[in-house]
Amino acid sequence: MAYNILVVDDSMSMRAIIKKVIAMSGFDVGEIVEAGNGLEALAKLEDFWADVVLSDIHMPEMDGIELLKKIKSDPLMASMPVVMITTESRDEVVSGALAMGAAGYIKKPFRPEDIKALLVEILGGEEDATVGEDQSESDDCDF
Amino acid sequence: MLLLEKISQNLTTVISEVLETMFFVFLEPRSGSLPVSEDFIGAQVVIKGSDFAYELRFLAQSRLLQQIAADFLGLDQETASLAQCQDVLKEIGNMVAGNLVNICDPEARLELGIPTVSGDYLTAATLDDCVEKFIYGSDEGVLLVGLNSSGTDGK
Repeated sequence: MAYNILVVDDSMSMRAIIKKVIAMSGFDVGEIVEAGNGLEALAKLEDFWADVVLSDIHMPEMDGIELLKKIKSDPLMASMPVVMITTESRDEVVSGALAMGAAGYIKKPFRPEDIKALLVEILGGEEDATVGEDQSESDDCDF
Repeated sequence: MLLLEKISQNLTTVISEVLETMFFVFLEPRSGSLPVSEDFIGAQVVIKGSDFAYELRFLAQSRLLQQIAADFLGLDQETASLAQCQDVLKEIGNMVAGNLVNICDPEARLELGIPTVSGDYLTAATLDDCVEKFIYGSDEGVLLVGLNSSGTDGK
């Protein structure tokens, strides 16, 4: 099964790195769609189903917490896993996001294996992820 | 302890963690006067409290930033564009400020702003009004960080 992933971050370089990490993870990835903030993400989700949404929190226009609320309050999207990738690790913010239904949380700066581990947890792709493990031996120091 | 002191005390540790973990860059703290150069690219992040604000200003020499951006994005150094360099510097600022806030404000009273670009072809004089200045360097160039404050930090 090919997984579709939505990457939401106002930094184009961060989106590029996250996409690269996903590509190296060994998962059978279908389409990876990018958005620069929560509003853009919601617009993309009107005609795109994401098996996972990876979202920053601090973004202009609409932040990641608001995006999470919108997704979880929409019956059509409520089951969509949303992972927060952010500099925030303050308990109030992280606990708040998890209480609102976030499927996980990755702190920046992250290592490629952090994202891969969470994708394995959410998508359950252990068998495919072995490919990524082989790759990470040679690529783990190269985003 | 004032937040300003906490931020200053933790800045070097946080910068090292961010640059080494995410960008595989190792910069050493340096002392002395700020370098005379006109090729700095700048970004800034504001950290807001109830009646005060801190501004973290980042100035990176273009050669160093081009190298960081190129390595990060998998490009040749010469092909890293100004926009890509600025975006990478903003993200460095975002991660440094965010991790400082995590350490200095576990109760989440402070609000982290969105990083903005302050320009290119800047000089170190951009930091003249900063109350604290820090220099980090490698053979490729230096990264300057200035810390400015406004309002009353009574923490």
